[in-house]
Amino acid sequence: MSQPGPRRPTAAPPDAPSAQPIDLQDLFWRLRRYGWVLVLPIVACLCVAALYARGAVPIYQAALVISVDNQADVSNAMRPYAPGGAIGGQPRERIALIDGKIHNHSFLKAVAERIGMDKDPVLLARATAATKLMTGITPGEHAIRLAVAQLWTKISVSQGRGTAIQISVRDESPERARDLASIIGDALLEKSLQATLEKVQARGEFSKDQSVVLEERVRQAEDALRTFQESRLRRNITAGLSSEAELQQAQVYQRSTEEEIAQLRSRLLSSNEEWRGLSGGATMPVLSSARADELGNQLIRHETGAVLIQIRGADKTGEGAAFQGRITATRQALFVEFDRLAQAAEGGLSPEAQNTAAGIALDRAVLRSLQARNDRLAGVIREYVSAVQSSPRDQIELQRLQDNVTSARSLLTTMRNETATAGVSEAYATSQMGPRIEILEHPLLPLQPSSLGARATYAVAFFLALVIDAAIVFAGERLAAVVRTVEQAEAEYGLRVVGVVPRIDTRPRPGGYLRNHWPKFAIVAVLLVSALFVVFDEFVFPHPNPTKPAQVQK
Amino acid sequence: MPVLFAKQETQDLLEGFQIDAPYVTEVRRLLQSLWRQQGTAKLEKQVYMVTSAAREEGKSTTCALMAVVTARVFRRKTLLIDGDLRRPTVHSLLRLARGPGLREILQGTMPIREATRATALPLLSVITRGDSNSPASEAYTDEAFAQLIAHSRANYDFVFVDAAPVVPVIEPILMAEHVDSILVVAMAGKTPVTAVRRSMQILAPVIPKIAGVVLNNAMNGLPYYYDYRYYGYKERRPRTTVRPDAPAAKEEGAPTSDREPEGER
Repeated sequence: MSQPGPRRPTAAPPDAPSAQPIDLQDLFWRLRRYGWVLVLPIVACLCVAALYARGAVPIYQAALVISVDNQADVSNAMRPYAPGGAIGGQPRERIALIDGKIHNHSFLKAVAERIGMDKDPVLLARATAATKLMTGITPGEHAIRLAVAQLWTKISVSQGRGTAIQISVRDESPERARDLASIIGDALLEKSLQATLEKVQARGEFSKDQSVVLEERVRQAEDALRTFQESRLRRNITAGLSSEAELQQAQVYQRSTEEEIAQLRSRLLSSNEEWRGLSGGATMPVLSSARADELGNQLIRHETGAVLIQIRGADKTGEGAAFQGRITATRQALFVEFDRLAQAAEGGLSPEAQNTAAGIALDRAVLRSLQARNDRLAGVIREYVSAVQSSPRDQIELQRLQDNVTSARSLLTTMRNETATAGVSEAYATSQMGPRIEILEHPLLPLQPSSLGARATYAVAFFLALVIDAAIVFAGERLAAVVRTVEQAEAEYGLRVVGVVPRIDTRPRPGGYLRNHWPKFAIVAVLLVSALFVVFDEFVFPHPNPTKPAQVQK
Repeated sequence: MPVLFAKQETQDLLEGFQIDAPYVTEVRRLLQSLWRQQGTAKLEKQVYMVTSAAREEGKSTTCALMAVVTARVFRRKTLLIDGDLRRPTVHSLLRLARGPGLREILQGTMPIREATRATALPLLSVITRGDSNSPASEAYTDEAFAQLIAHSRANYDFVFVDAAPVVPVIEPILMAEHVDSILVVAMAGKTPVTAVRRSMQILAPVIPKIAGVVLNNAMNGLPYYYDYRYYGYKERRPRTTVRPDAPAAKEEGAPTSDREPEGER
């Protein structure tokens, strides 16, 4: 009892965790306070356990132990050609692999068909009834689906001893469990070998098909590269200039040509002055003939044809000198022709005037040829500059085409190797050395059911009820924010607790009767519901349980 | 383990009153604490109001017990007023009719003397809640209540007002203006901390009048050492010594041993 006194200041929450040892008396007191509330989960769990134990059918488990990927020893060189090497790894990966092989529709369908589940009259009746409500599926297909669904839940894959893998089959009949495990082992072996062969053969076919495709691709790449190289070569020949030195030479040559043109023009001016002095202002006769035109054109061809030879310095080798000789000879022939035409001109020209007129006509023809040469030089220079500017693109294109050819050849080589190794792998897989799923332990007839017995069921239920009770007490004591102790009350109110009044035995607890006794009502309700369930199950809606025959128990 | 659906023996506070019962012991201790808190040599005339944060925390039982113990044990002229105009319980605790009572007094339809009823205890009088069906919020008038308290103060040694909880209704804080001391009842293991904080906000204007907190352990929410079973300390009565050679004196149910009680050796 606390003594009255001055008001206390609000203190820290009294439920702060402390390192005090557990007070067992206090613990039992707290548990006792909950009373029937703690009895309720126990009764409920035991009722559920009783109902479960009553209706539970004993389940038998047959186990098949296998080992995976025990390859024969092969040399390191041979190992790449041995299929199935990827299976090796962590046990979990192996289990996942086998589980994936077993728990798939096609495998379970094959197993169901092998054991005749697709013709099971019970399944067929269920399937027939189900397919009446839906379209697009036959009773046989539906029965297979039902069988696959049943098998799916019966089979489990787990880690066995060491690196072995255990395949467990659970069934209500021990014989069926054993037989099903055996069939699964056989089917697994066959499926594994078949899958390996299919993979290897598919690999060979794939590599052959790809080789054909890649051969065509190599041919196309080589054609493209060859075409490009030829066009480039052709372009180099026609362009004339092939280096920076030749460009400089061409430019020098162009400047000298322009100087020659300028000199020739000034000489033509002085010759015209001379003509006007000699002729007394008469018009110069037209010195034209077919021969002169032909010689003029020939002179132009020689001048333009000698351009590249002059640039590349071929004149030093004799070819240039030959061209120069032809030009000189053509000019002389032109002069002779113009002189003849001047003598034959009307009006009777003096010898000096004839000579001047022939000289002017020759200069004009030479001027035209020099201008043609100059144009040719300008064109050559322009082409070279343009070619230099487009050169990087050509290099990149060339590199790309070469890379295409290289990669296509490399892929073709790889595919040819693959074709060759697929043959080796197929031979290996079909040999006794190939990867095998080996059965280490064949399934035996299970003698004892693997499911929980009645006692174990009750024990589990009781343990579960205790856990629920612990959760209830924890929630009630720790999570509910209510006043629990004198110290907490003083802290929350900031006042002294001047008295503690215990319960009056002769007075009811606060709240209504139902509120104070709800756990008892709940217990009675649980018991009633359980009893009703048993009564209905046993007498009102009895159903034969074919999975619970006496001989199975024996 | 509690018995499934055991019949609860319900008695009123006067019928089941036992002077040595743990709750009587604790209420006596509570009253003596209040007396000591006054700093006087004896209990002075006082008007107490008992309230709580929320409902069903045991304030009516505590208030009625305090009145019964004051009248019976301390032999003081005591008046118990049921001030909860909405959910009255005092009349059921003492097995009285609900009316007439406080409502009639507050409405002025009945004099205080007529509305005050005697009980089996000569020194204990009770004003129950009353029969009027007018809305409780309208029934309370401060002047009438002040007159009632003044009249009670003049005619009784102690007055105990069982008020409604402070959080849901306003009457308790109005009544608190006219009383001398206030006791706040909380039920261990039930009263929410949030309700406690809210009630203290409401009671802030009259905090100087609050004498303290009474912790009601009706739900056994306190630790085990508050259990009333620890209060078992009954008086050991001396046994009659019978000689072994005097069979005529032997009666059924009489002790057969001549041993003295342990406490008397």
